[in-house]
Amino acid sequence: MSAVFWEYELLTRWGDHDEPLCLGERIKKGTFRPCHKQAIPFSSIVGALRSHLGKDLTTDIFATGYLTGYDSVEYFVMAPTDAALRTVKPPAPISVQFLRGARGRVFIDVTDSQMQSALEAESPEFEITLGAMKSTGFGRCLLRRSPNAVSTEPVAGKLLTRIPEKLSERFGITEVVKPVYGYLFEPSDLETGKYVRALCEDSEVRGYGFLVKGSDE
Amino acid sequence: MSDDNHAIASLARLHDLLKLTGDSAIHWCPDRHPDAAILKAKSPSLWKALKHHCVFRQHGPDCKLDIDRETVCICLADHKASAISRRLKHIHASRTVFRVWRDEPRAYGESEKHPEVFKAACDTPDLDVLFNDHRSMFEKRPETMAKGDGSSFTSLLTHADLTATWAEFFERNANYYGIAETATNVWQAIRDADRKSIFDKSALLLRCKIRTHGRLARLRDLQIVKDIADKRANLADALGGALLYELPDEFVVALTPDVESKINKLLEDHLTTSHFVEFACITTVLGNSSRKTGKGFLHNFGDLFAGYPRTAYSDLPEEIVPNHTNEASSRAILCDLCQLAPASVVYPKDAHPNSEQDPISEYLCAACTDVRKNSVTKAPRLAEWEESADGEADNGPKRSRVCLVKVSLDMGLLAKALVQLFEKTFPDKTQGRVLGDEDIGFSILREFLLDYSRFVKAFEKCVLEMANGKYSNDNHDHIMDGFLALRTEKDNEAADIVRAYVKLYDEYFPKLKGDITPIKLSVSCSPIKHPFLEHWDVIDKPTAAIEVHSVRRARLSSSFNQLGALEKIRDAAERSRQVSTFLHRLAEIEARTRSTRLVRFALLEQGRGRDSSPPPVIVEPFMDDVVNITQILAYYKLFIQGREK
Repeated sequence: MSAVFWEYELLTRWGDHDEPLCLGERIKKGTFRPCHKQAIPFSSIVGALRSHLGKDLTTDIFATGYLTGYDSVEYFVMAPTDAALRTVKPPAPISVQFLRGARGRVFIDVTDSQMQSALEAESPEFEITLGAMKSTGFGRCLLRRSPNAVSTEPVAGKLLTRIPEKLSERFGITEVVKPVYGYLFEPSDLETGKYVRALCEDSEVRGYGFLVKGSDE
Repeated sequence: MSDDNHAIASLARLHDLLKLTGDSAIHWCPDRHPDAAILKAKSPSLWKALKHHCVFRQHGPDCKLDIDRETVCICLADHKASAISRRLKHIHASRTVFRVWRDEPRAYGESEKHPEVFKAACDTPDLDVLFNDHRSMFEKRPETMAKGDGSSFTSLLTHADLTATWAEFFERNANYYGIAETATNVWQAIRDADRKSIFDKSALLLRCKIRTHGRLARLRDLQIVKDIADKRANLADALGGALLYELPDEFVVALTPDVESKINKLLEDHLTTSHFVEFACITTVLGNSSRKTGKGFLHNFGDLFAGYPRTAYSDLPEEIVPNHTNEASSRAILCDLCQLAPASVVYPKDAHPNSEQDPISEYLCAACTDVRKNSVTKAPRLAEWEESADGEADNGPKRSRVCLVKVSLDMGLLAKALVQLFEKTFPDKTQGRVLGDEDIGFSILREFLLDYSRFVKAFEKCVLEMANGKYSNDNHDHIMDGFLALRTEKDNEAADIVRAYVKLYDEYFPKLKGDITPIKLSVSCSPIKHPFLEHWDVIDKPTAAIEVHSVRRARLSSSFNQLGALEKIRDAAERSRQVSTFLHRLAEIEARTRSTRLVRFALLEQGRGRDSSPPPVIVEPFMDDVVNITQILAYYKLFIQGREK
């Protein structure tokens, strides 16, 4: 059976919302948290969907996406406090890089009927909380179902997102010409997990056209 | 007789020494020189190298040569080096080297003759001394001055270096290419047919670029970039082969094709997670044209410089699981810095258990811990700047900013730019003939690299001497050739650096200012303690001829032409008031409307009845359609602000 994906438009600005988005990298030297500006990693979007749809780790969710643009890169400086001592926790402050006016495309694998039913039960527009700094109010996004059918025609070009290498076939990647490697977190339970090797943006691959920037573009 | 054991490279480098005498008959067959017997007796190895033209052809009854493998290798190397030097034939003959990026065509003139060179060869047993004594002559004389060739585009120096490289290659791979150990019959040692069969064999062209992930956090992590040059040298050594050119982070090497199957392993073995290699690998015939396809060695130029289709990483595990007996691993799992290896060390606690500890803990892998530990010795200034940045306010001038200055060269663009320059400089000679990258060849690229290297050194020297040497000594660190880290006070110090660069560029590459800009300058400024990775985009992949960046403040990307136009408003901008407000307003209109027309309307309105408005000259480059308002604003912020009169 061929794979079926639904496409959602991701918005951080809708109605009277203007939400900051930090698709976080690791904190650097304990003081600076940079932000991805293109990829919506598999681990981030799957985590957000899992949380929104109320699915635990026993349910497989396959989704990924990428940002098509943003208005500005901004910085948020914060100093986490030590509640017991009522002091700022060292090292402080932490400078968090985030995107304002981010927009993107998210693709969710609905080949499995369970996933399709779960999404059909949602309205065509629903909110998720994506990325880092959720407890500080970052990452609220609107996903709006796109009416367009998603073509799974394979294309050779540069990967636009980050996906675990072991799931690359799931996203139609049949050939990895030039990998750019990184790691993505894979939770094994609520408390812990491991990192798995991932294909990162700009890897040269042959895969589903919606995740690949063809050489003619 | 003196010890006559010389490396083949030293011999090959001198093979054309007698060209300097100005007597081509002696160059073709040194036996014609009256003192031939003296040199032959004193330095038999050099003698054989000088007789490289006598391997295939006997020049009269007195021409004699005992041919061995070394001699054949030098002869083949000369052939190979010449073949890639003389692609552009019948274009321009000159008595001195014609460098298309800076010279104007000139009259043929008289050649310099140095007959004393023969005596020097007899009197100087050390061949490296002999070569260095005549280096300037090698550099000045073209490899060929012949009018019939019309290709005086490479120096004898470049040709000598290339011949040395190829001679080593042939000697190392003599068995693969079927070069016999000794010859029994002098004139049948290697016939023309044998030579053709050697050049019909395959070679592997490998272009490697050593890169780092760029997720550097501290200034001292620039040591990872410093290490790139060492990695490059180690890799090139490990691969062997003929090194056709090298830059601080890149090289092209010719190898035998059997290396291809083990190339990934060879590269991987020399890497840690701090670095990876991008490479292009092409199998080709050794000769310039295959008898089957008509295409050969240099016809791969386009593919070789099109990009790097492959990568090699150090061995990366499929998954990294936490080790709960290790604090770093249980807390972070993955290394904070490279993000490609298991975290195993809490830095600095585990690495320096007895020292006063930095309150900031990082969870690092073994390789990144080494980087941090070694930074104190390998990048001591950067480490010292970081440590002193906090407490320096009380003593002396505040120098808490850093300015990273990098000159980079894109070899793929260079080949294209040179083709364009040849077509522009010699339109009548190249008419009806489409020049390709392959016409440039490695020799012209190497000739260019000689000038580029001088340019980079001159620029570095100029920067370090600037403002009474304010960046000399402990206020700079040399990261790699063309890449300096400077300790500064203000961002606008970058302006003088850029101006010095433009002045030197005009001196070295006055004609290389077309729409293709292979050489780029990137300057990025920030506070010393600012995470380095925000500099990286600008430093690593500059998009314009000149990029100046102050992190989180302004970024100016401009061509030479645009910068020239912006410099014309310098005086007016320094003397006028309210320029900043004026430009910010226009830039906001431009950003929101994405329309230059609306900016022009706003300018018209601004001009009505307001005496305090900045003079119109400030927006002249915009009105002339040379730059946009954002560029003027960036120029103002980076070059002018803080220097207003």
